[in-house]
Amino acid sequence: MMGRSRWSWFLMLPALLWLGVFFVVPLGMTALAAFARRGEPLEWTFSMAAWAELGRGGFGVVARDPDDAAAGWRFQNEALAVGWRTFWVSVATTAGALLIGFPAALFMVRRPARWRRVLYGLIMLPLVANSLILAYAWVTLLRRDGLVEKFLRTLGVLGEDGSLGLIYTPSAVVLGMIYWYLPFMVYPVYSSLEKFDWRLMEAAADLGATAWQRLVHVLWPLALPGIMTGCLLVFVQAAGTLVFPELLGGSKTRLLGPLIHDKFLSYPENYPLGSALALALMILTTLGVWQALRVSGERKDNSVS
Amino acid sequence: MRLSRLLAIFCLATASVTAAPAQTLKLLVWEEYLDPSVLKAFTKETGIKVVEDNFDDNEGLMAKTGTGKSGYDIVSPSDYAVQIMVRRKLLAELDHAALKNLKNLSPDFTDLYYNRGQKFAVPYTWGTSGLAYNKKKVKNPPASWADMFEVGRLQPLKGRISMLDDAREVAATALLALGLDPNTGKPGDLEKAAVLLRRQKPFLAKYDSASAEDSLASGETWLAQGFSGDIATAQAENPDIAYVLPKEGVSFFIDNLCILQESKNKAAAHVLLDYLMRPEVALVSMNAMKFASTNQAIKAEEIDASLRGSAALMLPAREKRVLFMDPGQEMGDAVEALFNDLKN
Amino acid sequence: MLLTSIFLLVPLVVLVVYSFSGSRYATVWGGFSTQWYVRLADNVELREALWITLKLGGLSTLLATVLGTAAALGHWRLRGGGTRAVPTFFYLPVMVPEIVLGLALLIFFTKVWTVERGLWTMTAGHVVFGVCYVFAVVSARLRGFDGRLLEAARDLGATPWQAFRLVQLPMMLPGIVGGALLSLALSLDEFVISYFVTGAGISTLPVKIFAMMKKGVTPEINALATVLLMASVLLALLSIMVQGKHRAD
Repeated sequence: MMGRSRWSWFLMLPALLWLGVFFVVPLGMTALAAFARRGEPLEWTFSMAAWAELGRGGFGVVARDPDDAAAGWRFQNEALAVGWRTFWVSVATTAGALLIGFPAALFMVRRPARWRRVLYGLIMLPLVANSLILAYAWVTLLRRDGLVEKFLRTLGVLGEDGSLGLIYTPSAVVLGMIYWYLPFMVYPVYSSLEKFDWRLMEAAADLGATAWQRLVHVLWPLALPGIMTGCLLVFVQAAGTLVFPELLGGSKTRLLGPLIHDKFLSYPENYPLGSALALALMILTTLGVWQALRVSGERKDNSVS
Repeated sequence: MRLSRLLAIFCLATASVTAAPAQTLKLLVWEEYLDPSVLKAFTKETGIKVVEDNFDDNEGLMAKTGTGKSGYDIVSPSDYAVQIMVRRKLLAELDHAALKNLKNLSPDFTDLYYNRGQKFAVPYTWGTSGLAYNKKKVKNPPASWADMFEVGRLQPLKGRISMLDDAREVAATALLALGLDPNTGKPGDLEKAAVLLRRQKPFLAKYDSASAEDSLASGETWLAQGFSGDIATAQAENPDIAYVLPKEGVSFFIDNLCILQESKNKAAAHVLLDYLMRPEVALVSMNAMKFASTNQAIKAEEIDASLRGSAALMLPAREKRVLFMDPGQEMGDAVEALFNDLKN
Repeated sequence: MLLTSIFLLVPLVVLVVYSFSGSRYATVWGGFSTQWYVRLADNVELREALWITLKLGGLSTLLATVLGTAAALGHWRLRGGGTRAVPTFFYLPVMVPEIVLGLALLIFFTKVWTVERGLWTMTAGHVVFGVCYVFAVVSARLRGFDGRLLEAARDLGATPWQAFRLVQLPMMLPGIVGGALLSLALSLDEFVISYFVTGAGISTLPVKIFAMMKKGVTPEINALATVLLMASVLLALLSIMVQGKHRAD
């Protein structure tokens, strides 16, 4: 028994070592860098300067435009404002992907095997094209006098000089990300639905449950682990996105990804502040992971009992 | 066990490729800077291989080479970036004995504040970042930076305007409009600039440095802050595009060729620099990339017809040229923060 | 589903159609032309980038597959017994945003282990997420494997190695191939990590495409994407056909 156990650890050792050196240590260094002194680019001397900078401006809110109350409010603190926006953009992307992805996965599972493969390929198709190029295809569609506006003009829905103002908005960023991250939602949801025993649905129907009740009380709880995995994958990736805000957002609103990027790959570099922001992003996504694990864990316990 | 054979072949294949040729110069230069044919011709003449990577703003270039272990030989920083890189001891001193063609450079662009005696940098191209507009669409064209902050003027162009996605360039437009110096940057000045920029933002389609000229030429935008060479490219494709140098003064830049201190191929790098300063070589890049050359040995009649009268060759009067200087960490951060705040 | 299909397909169709546009702008239609494909065929830089991408993909997939499969096997052999931490550990890199991993590796390779960045530093990053996907897929496959089969094989006179090679490995193979393909696909399109830890004169295709976009987007990029798209679809069809034939045999 001892021998087998030793062998087993030996088999896992190379992978664990690799992750240790190229994942745990770098992340640990990032955490340390957030408490280091800013040099050109970094000195390993303890300093809280990055955190002081991160908290600058306090946590209050100010009017977006002092002369115009309708413009709403914003956080005065840069990190908070950007983090807040990043959070909502990620939530919207996740919700959108779920709204499209769940019915799609449900539809796929109910088709015969041959059809399933075709539909599956269709969902995965965008993944094999390059994400940057696809973002640009969206620009072609959404831009001023672009294909969508031209199409609506031909239909007469939109006036000759009218514009929907679709491009270069946060909504365009969300749309592009829903499109790109959809496969990451569909794949796990589909996998969990595939294992679903459809006789349960019939049983529920026999017991007099309506279609809605069956969906909410039977299908949804059992598909929940897959849904949670999908939501996590989409949320985490959306929260750290780098290129969509620039290409589809017209670089007009800051998200955490580009902000962090600039702290490392733009002069004057600020590795400590960038690291602190990265930690903030990690906290944001970890909260999401923890919450998702808790929800799906609870469900699992309920379904077992 | 076919798999293992496949793996063995793969390993052999990668091993054979990693043995690189002896002398290769690695360039990190502006996009739209050197015409690829120039580098090909250089390799053919000297046998020295050249690999080119690009950057799109000085800040990116400085961050990439800042560690002194970037692996590049030659870079092309602008004026103030040269100043910073010299301060950070990243640039190698040039050996003038190996640069016979230095004499071809126009005195208009040599011996400037960042580069006394061409000690570290060869000025190679120059340009401005002014305002370009579509003559058919903009009835009341702007003549000054102040015009860019006049709501009544911007209203009819709403969603058709782009500004550069560059903190310093954008901040400079507002500072110039206010009659302030973009280089001193007292905190109060930047706050005043921020008010103007915040008011301007709702009228903008986007902040864009990469494809501003494409959007302008294709008619997607009608008014844009842009780099002169890029605008000249747009003008070559769309004759309706006009370019103005705003009257308060205009951001003026000189892009240089420098050799990195870390380079292990300094001799070969000098050979390439000298080659690039030949008038016939500089001309090829200028005609193709549309950024004006500092080379005075280029004959005027050989310059591409599309460049004559274009944005690329509009040289502002000396007193209107605003050369950026090293902002220092504090102001650099402040300008960056202003731009980030603008995007909040 | 019809709407979803339209949503999925329209951008792809736009992408392919505009690769045949005569206009220099990727977002404006300018009449039918194949000039961008001709340009593409002449583009040495892109070919170089494609080669680097394939090398990186092959190298990182190879490493990720070997390491990930071994780890999954090791974990399976432990069969419970306080090992829940192991899979959790292997899921962590997937739950970390790419940009964080990218910058962490940048700090690591500039301030801790100072090396010239290039193919190997990118490989280090790609293997990190690759190994996790391989581990997950192979583990899922092994979950249904009954260890008593190995004992049965031993009872019938097989050596441990023979038992593994003839009984367990064939059963694991679809998982290994699936994990490897997933890791390869993700590596080929990976942009953020590569962008952070790439070195002088070494650009993968996504990094090169990003640089091309900065120069102003021409339909040449669409042409490139179309070619890649067709190649992937062809490869997928081929693998389905091979699998189908295999099953028929």
